[in-house]
Amino acid sequence: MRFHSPFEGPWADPEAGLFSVRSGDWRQQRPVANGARCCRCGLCFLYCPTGCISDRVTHFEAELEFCKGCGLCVYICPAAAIAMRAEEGC
Amino acid sequence: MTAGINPVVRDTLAIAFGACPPACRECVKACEHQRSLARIVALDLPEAPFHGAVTCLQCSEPACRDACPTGAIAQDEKGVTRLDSGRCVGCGACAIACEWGGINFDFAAARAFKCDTCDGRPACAAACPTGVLRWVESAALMRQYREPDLFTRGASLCPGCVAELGFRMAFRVIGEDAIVFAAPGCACALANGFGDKATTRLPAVMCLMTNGPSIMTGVARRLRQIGKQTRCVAFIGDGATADVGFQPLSGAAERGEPIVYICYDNEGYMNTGVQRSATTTAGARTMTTPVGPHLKGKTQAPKEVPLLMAFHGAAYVATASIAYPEDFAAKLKRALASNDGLAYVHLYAPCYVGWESPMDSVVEISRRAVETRMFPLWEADHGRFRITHPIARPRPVGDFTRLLGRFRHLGPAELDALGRQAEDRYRRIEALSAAMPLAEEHPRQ
Amino acid sequence: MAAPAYLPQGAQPADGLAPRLLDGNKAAAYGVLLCRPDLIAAYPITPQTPLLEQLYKFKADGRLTAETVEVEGENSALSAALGVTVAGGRAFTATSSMGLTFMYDAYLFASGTRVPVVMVIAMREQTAPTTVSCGQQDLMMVKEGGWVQLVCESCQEILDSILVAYRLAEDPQVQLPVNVCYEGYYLSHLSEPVTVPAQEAVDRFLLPVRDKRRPVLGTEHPMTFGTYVVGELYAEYRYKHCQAMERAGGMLDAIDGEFRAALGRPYGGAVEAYRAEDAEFLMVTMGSAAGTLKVVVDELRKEGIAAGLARVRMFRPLPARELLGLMRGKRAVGVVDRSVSFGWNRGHLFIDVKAVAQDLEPRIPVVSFIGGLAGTDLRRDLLAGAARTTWERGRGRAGAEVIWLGLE
Ligand code: SF4
Ligand code: SF4
Repeated sequence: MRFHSPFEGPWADPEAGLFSVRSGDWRQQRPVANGARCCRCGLCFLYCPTGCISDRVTHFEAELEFCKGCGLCVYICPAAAIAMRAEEGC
Repeated sequence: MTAGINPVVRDTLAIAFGACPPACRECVKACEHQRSLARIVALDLPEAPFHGAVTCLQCSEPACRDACPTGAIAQDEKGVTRLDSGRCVGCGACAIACEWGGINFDFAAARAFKCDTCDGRPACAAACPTGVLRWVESAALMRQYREPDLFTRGASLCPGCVAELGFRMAFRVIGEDAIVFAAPGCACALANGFGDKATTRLPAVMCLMTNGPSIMTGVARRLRQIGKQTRCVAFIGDGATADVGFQPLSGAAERGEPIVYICYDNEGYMNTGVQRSATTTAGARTMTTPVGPHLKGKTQAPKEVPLLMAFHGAAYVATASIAYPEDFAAKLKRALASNDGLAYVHLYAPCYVGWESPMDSVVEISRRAVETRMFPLWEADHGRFRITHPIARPRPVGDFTRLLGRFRHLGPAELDALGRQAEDRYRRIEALSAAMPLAEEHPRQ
Repeated sequence: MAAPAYLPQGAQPADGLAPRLLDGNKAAAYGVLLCRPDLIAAYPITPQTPLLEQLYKFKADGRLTAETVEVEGENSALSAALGVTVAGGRAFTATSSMGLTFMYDAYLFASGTRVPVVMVIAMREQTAPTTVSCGQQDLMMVKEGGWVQLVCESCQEILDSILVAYRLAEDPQVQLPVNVCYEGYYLSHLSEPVTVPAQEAVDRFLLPVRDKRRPVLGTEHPMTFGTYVVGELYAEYRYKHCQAMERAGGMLDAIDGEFRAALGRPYGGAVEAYRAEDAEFLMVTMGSAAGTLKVVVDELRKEGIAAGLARVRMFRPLPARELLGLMRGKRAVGVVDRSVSFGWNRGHLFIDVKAVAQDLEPRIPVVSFIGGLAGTDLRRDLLAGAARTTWERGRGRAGAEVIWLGLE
């Protein structure tokens, strides 16, 4: 018998890596950051529901592997430093 | 730096573009008063129609600076772009380079000048009567949300989900010395693990709809027994809170179990496809309160779970909204600090799918709900009440319902009734705050 | 050493081996006390309540250090017990009848997540019709719930079974919740001489939880408990659950052996055989009726009728191998049930026994006797009648497969 889980019951150890879906595949539009415009308030970082925005020193930008394209970062950005662009074929 | 790590950020002026009422010039007046020449322009274009304030946004890579031939424009260490009028030759290159109308020109003196945020205390934002201009103290804000995000990046929740957002925000305040408890519902995807993999680096428990507070009771008692400070924190939806799981919550509150229970209220069974729950707003269309000739959405007013919790004698009770992040964080901290009983935080969690609104609208809906008094922000510490964000002049309830397709069928009479319910809800809290007030700076252990 | 005390209050459990008069609920309470649980959470329900009251008395007297939670319902009772167990502690809870069905979701959760909680079921009929009388129907409602289930015959066995239950539940090879079941009133409220073992002896038999191998919820090593599972992994957990059940079945014999060595009383494993070896036919039952049936067996033997009895101590996992061994060579089997299976319209234990008997060659008649519902007495004459009927069936007499004792 070959087992997947080392446990008797439904336990999981995060040391084995976290489960994650490639939620970026769902995206119909992508956020495009205008780095020059960013005033580094960090609101997009705080408000991205997927937590996929990272600090690129001069500005903040989404990791597209996980970004679901919700556009909340665009809404929250006080500097209009992000714009949504439709993905190919959407 | 990567996501989840606390970045260095700057305070900033947030402008809701084009959201000004016509003919309002309060910001301009305030700026003139402070700085003699206004560095903000109130564009009033009724034929466009456009009414909006325009000023410098303090870009991180300012085009004006790059365009200036004399080097009169420079960024200071706080990220504020300043113009040295002594070096300005009045060529106007900066004004042409800025897409935002952020450069002002003094034609009499033939010199450019611009906003410098009043050194972090902008008079315009203070004077703005509508909230279009806000001075966002993000540096202080991010200090409140400084803990790393320990949840998986790719979680199976809808894009723009406020439950996912609220979950991450909450634990950026709560930190690592906590065990997270989830129950069936949308947000559990962040905590329940999948198969043999976890979805969070925090210790986590996936409960039933009917036993979250009771499992937490056992765990919290155990932690206390072995001398641990670790907090048990639930992030559970309104169905398991207000409906099928209400009994164990009530029991845990009455017994004074030292647990923190965050209910994210999306007003329905959204994970099963939008059915009404006890907290669904009256009039709302759901799959079990549809709209037809014989039924016009939900007929009952929502169950006010936070008040019920306060009347249970819970140590701490608060309502919170992601649109007011400072308030949310402060309440979470107080909830964590109240170790002598159950702390309950009721997070407003609009579900744009079930509430029928655009994907990027959850913050806007959250703010409107507060501004229209649909969702008052308050807290109660050991039975003493305080409105944490008083709404002196509420917006008409239509400003809220208009955002949501689930209210589209409501006529003026029904909207009036909804408005009255909101008023009653707000006045009830107001009356409690007056009768049993909680001092603003209440000391905590 | 204290003299045999009629009232246990004030006497130390460690005060030696002199038997004292305890009813089943009190015996259970002593068993729990000796196991040093970290948390007790229960909701009062007849006929379990005096057990709960006795535990609170122990706590008030300072003899029990466990946390106690006065929960608002049974579902919470089991859930709180589960919580403390997941966090590395030892928990106890108890219920009956409707309380058991009210905790059904947590009941299935506890076994499916492999949480070694111990819970007493003071067995009672299952409403409706409304009653609080004795029966075994409540246990039958959860027999497929994935718990190990022990059924007791005497007050002494209740106390001892609680010790055995923790050993079994917490064994790394088992990690399953265990029910200790005894009939309401017939045992819960019946006083019998019970020997309360010395604490040191129990401590040797039952190690603290920290010495067991199992995942613990906490920040030292953050882990997720109760993950969402689909597909193959789900089958894996089911398979492991069944394997653990198998091991639990096999382990009871060994634990009984250790129990005998440490505490001096033998139980004989999952099925107690009484004059079964040379019997011509076999009666099968579980619970307090076994005592009466033993008397009946003795009486029939005096008449020259070779009766025998198999008392099922472990109802789940079903000791099929042992039952088959005992039935082999018999001419008939009669099963006395204090419950009914709707649809089958037979007793629950009967269904199990009949299924096991399919492996016998040649086939023998198996008869279902239903009696003792809602606290009616399974009197000696009724059980003697059942035994005679079974004997006659073995000698070729035809008849119905199910007989309602006292009704027919
Ligand atoms: S579009 Fe949504 S998911 Fe993508 S970065 Fe912006 S806020 Fe995050
Ligand atoms: S919200 Fe806009 S201005 Fe603020 S950090 Fe993000 S991109 Fe920059």
